[in-house]
Amino acid sequence: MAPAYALDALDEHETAQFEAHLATCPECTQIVSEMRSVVAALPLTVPLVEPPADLKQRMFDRIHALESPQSSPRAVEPAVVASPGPRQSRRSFFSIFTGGGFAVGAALASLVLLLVTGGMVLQQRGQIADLQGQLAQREAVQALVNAPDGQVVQMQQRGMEVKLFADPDSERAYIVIDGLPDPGQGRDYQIWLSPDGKNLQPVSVGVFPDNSGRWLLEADKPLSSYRWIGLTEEPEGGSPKPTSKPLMGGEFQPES
Amino acid sequence: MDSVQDEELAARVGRGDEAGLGLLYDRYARVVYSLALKMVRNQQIAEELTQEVFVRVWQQASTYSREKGRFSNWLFGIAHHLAIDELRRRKARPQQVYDNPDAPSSLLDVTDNAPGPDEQAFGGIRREYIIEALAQLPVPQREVLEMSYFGGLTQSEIADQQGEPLGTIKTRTRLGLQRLRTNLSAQGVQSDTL
Repeated sequence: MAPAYALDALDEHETAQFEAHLATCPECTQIVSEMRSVVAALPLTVPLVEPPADLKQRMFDRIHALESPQSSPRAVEPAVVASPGPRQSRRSFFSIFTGGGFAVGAALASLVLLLVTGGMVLQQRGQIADLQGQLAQREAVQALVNAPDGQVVQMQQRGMEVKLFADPDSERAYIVIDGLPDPGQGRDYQIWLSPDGKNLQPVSVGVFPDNSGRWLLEADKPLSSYRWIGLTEEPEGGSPKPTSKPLMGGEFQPES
Repeated sequence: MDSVQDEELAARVGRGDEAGLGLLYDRYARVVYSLALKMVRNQQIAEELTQEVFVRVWQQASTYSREKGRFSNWLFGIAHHLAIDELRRRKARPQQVYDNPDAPSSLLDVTDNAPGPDEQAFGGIRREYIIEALAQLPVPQREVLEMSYFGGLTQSEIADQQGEPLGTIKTRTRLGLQRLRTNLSAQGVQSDTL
């Protein structure tokens, strides 16, 4: 499988299988390394085409839209754009993950399908509910689905997709993450909420080790208390405060 | 051309130096865009992918280290992964079709051997040598490498498309990479210098 792995030509299941093998096989690891050095030649063979002249500025504009000079470390504060909810809600609470390549949209049907597979409880210091097994977790997720003001927000960026299902009056949210970059050995992802979108003092609501998965988050206060959500890469086990630039983030928009 | 090493620029970007990112963009955007266009065959999506690649560099440069290999390979790896994700997402949603009939179906359909500033980014390695090394592969081996790397197809999908046993495709892939390494060496390009 090493040649196909070096070419990114294995499907997800095969990739997971082979990576598990690589973890215990230095010989295959060496073979993969050698083959990747050959694969590295392939990008250099493509017919060269000039990108549009304004693409560089558009890239910087996008980075600037993701940056927040008030935060430490730099955090995301994109423009706020109204988001249609999955149903008519008495208020429009979620309007997040905008700016740059993020696309916001309702995805209730998608979420219901995702519920079939359940998920796992995110482990985090005293802030994540002990749901006592998958049944309880599913019930909690179901409650979010059925909440009168429940809303789903979907954000997509190339290679990354996040769906958040939450009731603004609840402390809980169900989050589905797919396609983040591999955090690498000794690194985890961490989700943060901040009550103030401008003077960010984010609190952690969860640490997770994988680049894809489904988690039930639980905050200290109802989500309507928060203005900002973001996701960073952190040392294994998480950090007290963000130590890297958010990969994704955005503001919740309270009813105006 | 700025002579600052990629790895030094990456370190500067990791510290939030936008000028460093600009220099890396100037060096590599053409190749990244061309790779993306080759794979997704849609100009708009290739532009989005190119932007995304450099946003990722901005966000993740602090995680790059020389131990991960050459910076350019790390960068191209990001571009390739993003394009693969796009292709596989497209397969999952067949209504999204972006095929550009004018796009070359094979990297050998179009040759652009004119020396360009990108070559310096490749450590002075001339693209034509690498293109020639690939062109010298037996056609079945080259096709499998192209379908895998540029087409985002899995080994099973290639076997289905070509009507060949999976084992044959795996063998062609392995032999293709081995032969390419030999061909590169014959062209004076040691693969471990890429």
